[in-house]
Amino acid sequence: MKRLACLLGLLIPVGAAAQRLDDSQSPQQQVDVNLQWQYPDHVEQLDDGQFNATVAHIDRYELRLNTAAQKGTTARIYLGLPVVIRGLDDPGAVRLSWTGHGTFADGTVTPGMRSLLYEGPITSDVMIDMLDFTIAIDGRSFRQPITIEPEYEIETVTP
Amino acid sequence: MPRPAPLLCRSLRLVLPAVCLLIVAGGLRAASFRVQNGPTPSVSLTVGSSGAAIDQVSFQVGSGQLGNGQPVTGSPAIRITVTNRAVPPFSRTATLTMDSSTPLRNGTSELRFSTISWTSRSNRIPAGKFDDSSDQTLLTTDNPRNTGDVLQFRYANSSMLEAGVYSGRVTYTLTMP
Repeated sequence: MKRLACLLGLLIPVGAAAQRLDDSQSPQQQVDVNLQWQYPDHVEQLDDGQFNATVAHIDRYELRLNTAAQKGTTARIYLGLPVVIRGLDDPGAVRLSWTGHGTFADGTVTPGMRSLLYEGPITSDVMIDMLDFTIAIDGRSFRQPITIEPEYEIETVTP
Repeated sequence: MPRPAPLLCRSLRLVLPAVCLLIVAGGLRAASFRVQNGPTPSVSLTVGSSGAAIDQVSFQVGSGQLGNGQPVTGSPAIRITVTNRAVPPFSRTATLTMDSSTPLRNGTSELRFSTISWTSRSNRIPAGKFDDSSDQTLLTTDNPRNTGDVLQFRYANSSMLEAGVYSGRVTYTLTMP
């Protein structure tokens, strides 16, 4: 009896934990983006935050998530960012926002955070949507080429 | 009666599923967005009012005070704004220089610009005096910088001059390599 209680204690958290989703079917696996000044005009009137604000846009990024293992369940899918972003000396200096075109919800994340991308039944092996991404970076934290790797997680609500 | 498994074996049974999960998660590929370069570095300089107009500072010296050594304050004060934008890996130094090499003129009479000095309201731009050269440095700034100050000019009024109006122009140039 004592051994059973111990096993349950381990199994319940594992069953409820988020699992990484494979996005390797997305056609573009590495996207090179160009930063621009977010406020290019009337520069002398900007405060420090605006003066150093940079932005990049990735339009119509085709996201394909492999949900074959969760097909037939109801689940929540999240988009998150790792805590550490290579190339930045301040993780708080980057913000990733996106707009979906039908399947996935809009959202915004900063490193170490995640945002709900989808909630509902998983009816196909691959979930697809076109996303418009915006990357906002405080230029003062830019130290070397930056790599941003969105992570996709799924939590099954009902088996 | 079966013997209980040694403690080490029981521990291995519990740990193994967790290890398997970690390996699967670590094997997933993830698409990435790569930012190689910062935005194009830029500088801007505004001397006086914005636009194409050239601001004019006037000093009124009465005949009774001419050359008495009492400085005469010019009007209006002039705001200078300097911006120097780049992200740190591409940082560079911008330099603000002045060309006062051509003296003020009144017909054939001349007045050197080194008779004119200035003070600044907040010391973001240092106080100083024109040196009659073509490349006097007023300020150097590293990126990123958005700075400015208001300069108040003064004529030294320490010598006698031919009566009349003396006019001249100082050119400010901001450069970034």
